[in-house]
Amino acid sequence: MKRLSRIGLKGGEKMDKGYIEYICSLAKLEYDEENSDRIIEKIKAFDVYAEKLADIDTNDIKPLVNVNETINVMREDAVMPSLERNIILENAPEKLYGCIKVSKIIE
Amino acid sequence: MRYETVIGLEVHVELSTKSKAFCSCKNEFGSEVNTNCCPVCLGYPGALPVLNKKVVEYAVKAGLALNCDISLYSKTDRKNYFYPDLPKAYQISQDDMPICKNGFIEIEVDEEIKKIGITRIHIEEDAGKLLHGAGDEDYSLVDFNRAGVPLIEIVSEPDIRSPEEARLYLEKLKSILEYLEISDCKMQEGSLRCDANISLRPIDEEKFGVKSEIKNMNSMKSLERALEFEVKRQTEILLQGEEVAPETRRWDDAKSITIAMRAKDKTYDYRNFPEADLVPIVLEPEWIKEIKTNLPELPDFKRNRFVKQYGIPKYDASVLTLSKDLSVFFERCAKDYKNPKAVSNWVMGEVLRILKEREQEISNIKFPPEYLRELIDLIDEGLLNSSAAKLVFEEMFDTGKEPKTLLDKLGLKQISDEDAIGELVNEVLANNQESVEAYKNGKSNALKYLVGQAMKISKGKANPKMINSMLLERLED
Amino acid sequence: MNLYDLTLHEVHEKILEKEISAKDLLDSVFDRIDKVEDKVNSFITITKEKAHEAANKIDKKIAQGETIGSLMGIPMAVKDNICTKDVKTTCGSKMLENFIPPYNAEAYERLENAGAIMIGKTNMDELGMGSSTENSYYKVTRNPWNLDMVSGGSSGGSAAAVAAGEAFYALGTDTGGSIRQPASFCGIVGMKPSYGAVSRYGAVAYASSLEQVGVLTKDVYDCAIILNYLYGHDPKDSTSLNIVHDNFIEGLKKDIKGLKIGIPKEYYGTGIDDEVKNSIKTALKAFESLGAHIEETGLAYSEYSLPVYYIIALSEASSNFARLDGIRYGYNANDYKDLDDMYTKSRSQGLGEEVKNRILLGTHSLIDKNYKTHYDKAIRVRRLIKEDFDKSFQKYDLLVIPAYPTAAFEIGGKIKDEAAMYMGDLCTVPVNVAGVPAMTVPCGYNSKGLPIGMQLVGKHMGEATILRAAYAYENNASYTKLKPKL
Repeated sequence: MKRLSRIGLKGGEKMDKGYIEYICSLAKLEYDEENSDRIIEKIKAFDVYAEKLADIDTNDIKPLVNVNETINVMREDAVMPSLERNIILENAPEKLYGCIKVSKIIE
Repeated sequence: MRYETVIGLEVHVELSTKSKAFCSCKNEFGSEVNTNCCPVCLGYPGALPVLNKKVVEYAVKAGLALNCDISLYSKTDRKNYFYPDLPKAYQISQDDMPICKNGFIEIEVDEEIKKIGITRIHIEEDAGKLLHGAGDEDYSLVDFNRAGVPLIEIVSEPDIRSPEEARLYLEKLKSILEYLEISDCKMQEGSLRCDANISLRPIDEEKFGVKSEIKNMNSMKSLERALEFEVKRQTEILLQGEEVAPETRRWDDAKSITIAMRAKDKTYDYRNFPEADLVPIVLEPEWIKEIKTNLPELPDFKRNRFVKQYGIPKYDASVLTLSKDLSVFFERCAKDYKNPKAVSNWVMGEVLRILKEREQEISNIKFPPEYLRELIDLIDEGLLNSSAAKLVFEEMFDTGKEPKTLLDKLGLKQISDEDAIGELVNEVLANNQESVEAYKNGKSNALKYLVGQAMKISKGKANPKMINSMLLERLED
Repeated sequence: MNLYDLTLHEVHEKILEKEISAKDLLDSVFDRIDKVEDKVNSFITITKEKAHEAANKIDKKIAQGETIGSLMGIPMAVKDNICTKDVKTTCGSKMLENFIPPYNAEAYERLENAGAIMIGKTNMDELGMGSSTENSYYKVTRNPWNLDMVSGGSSGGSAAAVAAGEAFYALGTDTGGSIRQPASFCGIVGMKPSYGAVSRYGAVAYASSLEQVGVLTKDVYDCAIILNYLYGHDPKDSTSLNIVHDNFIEGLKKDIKGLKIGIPKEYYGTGIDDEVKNSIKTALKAFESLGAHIEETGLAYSEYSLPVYYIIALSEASSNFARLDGIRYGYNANDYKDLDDMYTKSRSQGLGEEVKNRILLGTHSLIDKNYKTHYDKAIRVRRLIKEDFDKSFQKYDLLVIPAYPTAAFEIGGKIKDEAAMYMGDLCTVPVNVAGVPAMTVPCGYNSKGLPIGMQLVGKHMGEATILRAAYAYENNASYTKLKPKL
């Protein structure tokens, strides 16, 4: 575990409930304090995975996102029919005046 | 303590492609809400984006016109955050490999040319529109027509040193983009949006001060006013020995102040990572060269050419080249014409005035440029005096009819026939004996009066110069 | 023999000979569903009326002399994360309980256009996250071979439906084994195509760079027939490949003399059931008798595929699932005090535990300070893993590994053995990381009578070789093929 300091948990940074609350806010999920210990364990186990990869020298290795390294897929600038508005609104839980309705936003 | 202003501008430009960036929905302003949407731009489960090649072309055009290096390899990334106008809860943008880098724009400040650096230009998609009521409803409404509309974001270096420079930068940028015809650049419609980062530092200090981000400046004027306000506000704070808070502020045009928006305590973590549903953009140098060769003439170049080619002053040329359509109109009138300065005067004067008055665009002007030449010719030939010419011009503008026709129709043909003038003069002299006497007794104003009478009788059609000289001749006898 | 027991190609023959109609097939299948569905729970939605309408139309077309394609009039099932127009598509989640897509997934549409008749949407682990179909919001699918056992996951419903005779074949998705493992547990064929071979449009994304839509069938020939329809470029999917593929039926019956098969040792370590090892050994003997050369080999980067897989999959999932917010569609909490509350409550109430945990891990993986050590690192090591496979396929035509270390485990049981859990991941995920095609082929049963599967892995777009080898094996397997006693 000697390299743990390299992964995420830099000096002074704790894997604690405050961090879990932060991650929950980023992911828009409810922070459940009772569950947070379990999540901490899961994150630690997950970081062990990253830890394992640190063994490999990838300084000269280019990232591979698409295994086929496909490039330049584009389409012509042409208009095709859109969805009918009533269909869009059918699936929306809350709607009004042809729009999707959400809680008041204060900018 | 004297402070230096440091400003950087982030400009978002909606590209005028036919379809959206990643789907084939119509890219159109002002459509009925939620009528230009599909599973892709609505972020439905399973929907996938496909890049519009026109977006790449337009971004490269912008990059070339702004003197940037065009990246031969660039890719898209996801910028993740939650907001109701962002359907996928991420924006497809470009993070570490933008399509253009390291450019510049030249502006003229106090008769000197100054280069403002452009850090980068990248491709991204716009979000939908939020509609808020004016009352106290507890909801907001979302229109997704704008979601997925292609944008380029143009980020300047913090090279701008005054609110005036900021406005000049934006004006020049807007002008260049219009010339490229990649956006209609309408700030009032939101197809050109500008945010500013502004900070102050003591003169000769190298380190940057704390910056405020200013949003909601919806016109060139409000950009300049907002930044002027900020300079004052930040100066006051610093002079009191306090620190400027790093925050985002909103310009309130009605109140003429900036107001702090809800405080962001930390910088939000967007967790940018490569967009795996799209593939990298790899450009051929040949293709970029082709685009460069086919770039339209840009404003600065055209302005300088107008000065040389038409012998008009730099000021005139600047006004005439502010808008591409205006410059095209001017050139169509002035090309191979004997009096380009007259054309310039008319275009800068009456044409611009009436366009503003009638709230019309020069591209929709009803009369062809040749008619303006004809009008000027008629004045030169003495067939129209200046006030009559203005009347003919207005009629020409409203109906698109030829000046010669209008001349006769309106009966405004200037009387320059010697005999007719002679008759007029006789009539005036006969009916205004007192004035004749007055003139002979040394009252030179009486001549003006007599000319006026002649114009009155002829209903303004007489050639005033001829009236004047003939009267003078007769009076001196 | 009951109609529902036959294979796709067998019933197609009967339709061609005008022995049976599409309606006959539907009746047989719905009869079977009436008898066994209560026990197996393969389906979330059964589309009986729609199926009968479709069968009606097709029978008319056939009567009018229209050419009868291989899929025409034959009932199939669709995993519930594959969008089907006007039919509820829930992904096994409460969040999408009432989501009715106004569009078809491309893969489904191609089959529908070919006359396939969908009879229902199958149960799955919520949003694809799981390997037992116990993580569905709706129900647990039971293994037709033993109702106390899981059917595998996340395409558990699809696998069970095919094994139980409720459908002749089913569409599934495979992000990290979700077609191959349930196929193995249910004793059927399961194919994960090469990355980019089949359009992902309309398949609800879990991990965009890892997954493919694939198929679960009763035998290899059926699989080949369906792949012909599924493969090919889709302009709606930017990652879909623009290449011409082989006709998968031609060449299916060619011999496999001289076929070079590699056995990577990393996949047969501790954790693999002895019975599984023995079944595969027997299968390899069959290959040898058909003229193939078997040789032990190694895939040195195998152990790194797990970290790479988990980091990439969870990172991408955390982003892909962010759109599930109950605003434009999906579950909306209704009782909230402000915008943030609306998001948080809707997502927390609409999504299950497992999904939420994985989203949190993925979010953690992508935060700024972790990016370099997690996602960025993983996608670089990914290149090494892919090259590892590429090198191997320069030497071998196929690699054979277990489809899973064990046969189906008990519902509520879970694999407790860590080594077995590790091997479970290892058998499935490297294939997705490298983007290569792989097929589960049943190769025996364990002492409890539960199916065992072996996995044939090919090079990218090497499906033809996989199919040929699988077909040859299938027709020369030494074990007696059974049917589940339902």
